[in-house]
Amino acid sequence: MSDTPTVRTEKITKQFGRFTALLNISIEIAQGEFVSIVGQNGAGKTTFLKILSTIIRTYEGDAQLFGSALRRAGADVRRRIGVVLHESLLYPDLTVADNLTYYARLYGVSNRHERVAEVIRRLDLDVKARSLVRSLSRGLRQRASLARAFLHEPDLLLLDEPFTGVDERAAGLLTDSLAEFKKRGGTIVMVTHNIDRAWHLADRMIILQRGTLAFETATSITTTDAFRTRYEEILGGEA
Amino acid sequence: MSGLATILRKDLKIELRTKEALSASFVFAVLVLVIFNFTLILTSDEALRLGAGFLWIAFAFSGILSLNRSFALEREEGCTQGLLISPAEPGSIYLAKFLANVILMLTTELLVVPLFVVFFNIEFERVGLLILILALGTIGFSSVGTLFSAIAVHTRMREVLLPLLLLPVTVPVLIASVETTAYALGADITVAFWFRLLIVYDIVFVTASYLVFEYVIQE
Repeated sequence: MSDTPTVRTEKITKQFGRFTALLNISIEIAQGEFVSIVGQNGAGKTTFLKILSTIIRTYEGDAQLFGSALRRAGADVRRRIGVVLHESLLYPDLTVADNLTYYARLYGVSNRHERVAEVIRRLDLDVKARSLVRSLSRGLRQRASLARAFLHEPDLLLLDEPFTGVDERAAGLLTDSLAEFKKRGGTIVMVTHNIDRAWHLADRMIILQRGTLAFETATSITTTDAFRTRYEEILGGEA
Repeated sequence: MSGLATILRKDLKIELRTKEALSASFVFAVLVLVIFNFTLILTSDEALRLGAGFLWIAFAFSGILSLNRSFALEREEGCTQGLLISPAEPGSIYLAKFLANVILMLTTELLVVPLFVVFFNIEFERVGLLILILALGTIGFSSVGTLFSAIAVHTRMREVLLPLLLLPVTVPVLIASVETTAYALGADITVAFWFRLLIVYDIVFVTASYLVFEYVIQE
């Protein structure tokens, strides 16, 4: 385990015009830690994830991934991140296998055919591997998107509502995959509305409210009910 | 140049599968030539001078169709974000997109030129020179077109915005291409200046677009 935090942000602020999406967010996430970020719509969860994934590159404050400044993150840092967003990032006119092979090439995966076959098998996509992404249901697209994120064996997974649209069986596959990823030292940041699922998986819970860090706690030192009560108090305060 | 070949290969694979850009731009270019052919009766001298203009009008507008498609296919399912988070450098993404556009435009042009020759009853011998001029003109047009396509794709009026941005900037390369194409078809004119302009335009705009693309594709 490395002493350098996988994620370190200091006073991250992001504005879209006059709207402040994030305000002074300072967080440290250690290697191997699973952090869930919850909050209402518009709380800044996805914006925070997009900053960490290098999609949004203009913001105030400092952010580091693996000890490197995020603003100057080069190919070596981006290669270590796996991202699942609301959209699948898959080309609708290519098959699932073609998409995964494309991303494997893009990330320089050395044993790409074996690796593509492996993630297809792990996410139970064998039957749909030769189907165009355009023809897949929302749930299957989400599974293919997860396969894409796991493909290059990243060290950090950034997940935005990864359980949306997936059935119970696929949710089980994803839960197992995340547990396995964490077991081998991977770090996970997951944005979700589902407090129960997040609590079950995470080491630490963070509540974002109107772009600010309203509360954080380790899941080992409190209960789901206590956290939920706190969450509702914070949201109630907003209302 | 990390990712260049991979992105280029992916774009061509999608086009081979869908044939959307190629079929639309080919049909459009042929229709333009058919309209000019039926509405104007030209002498052989006029056909040499004006025909080159008709040809580049057809190429420019049909090229805009395929340029519009270039980043539109990245927009669906958030694939632009997939490129941004990948290890591919912005410059490589630009060059891959640019090369894909050049290949698609040139393919359309090479399919359309024989039809143009038949429609306007033109005989010419400088085939190699014509292909070189088509390539130089297409490189200049696509260099700026690829950059503006990346800008326009994020706007609501993208189909309208692209030609509005692109055509004024590509006027020099279009004029140079028309003049040099007329010469390649057999017109008795001096084109040394236009030929140099084509080459300089290509170098300047490919380099400039490559350098500024990083700021265009991000957020």
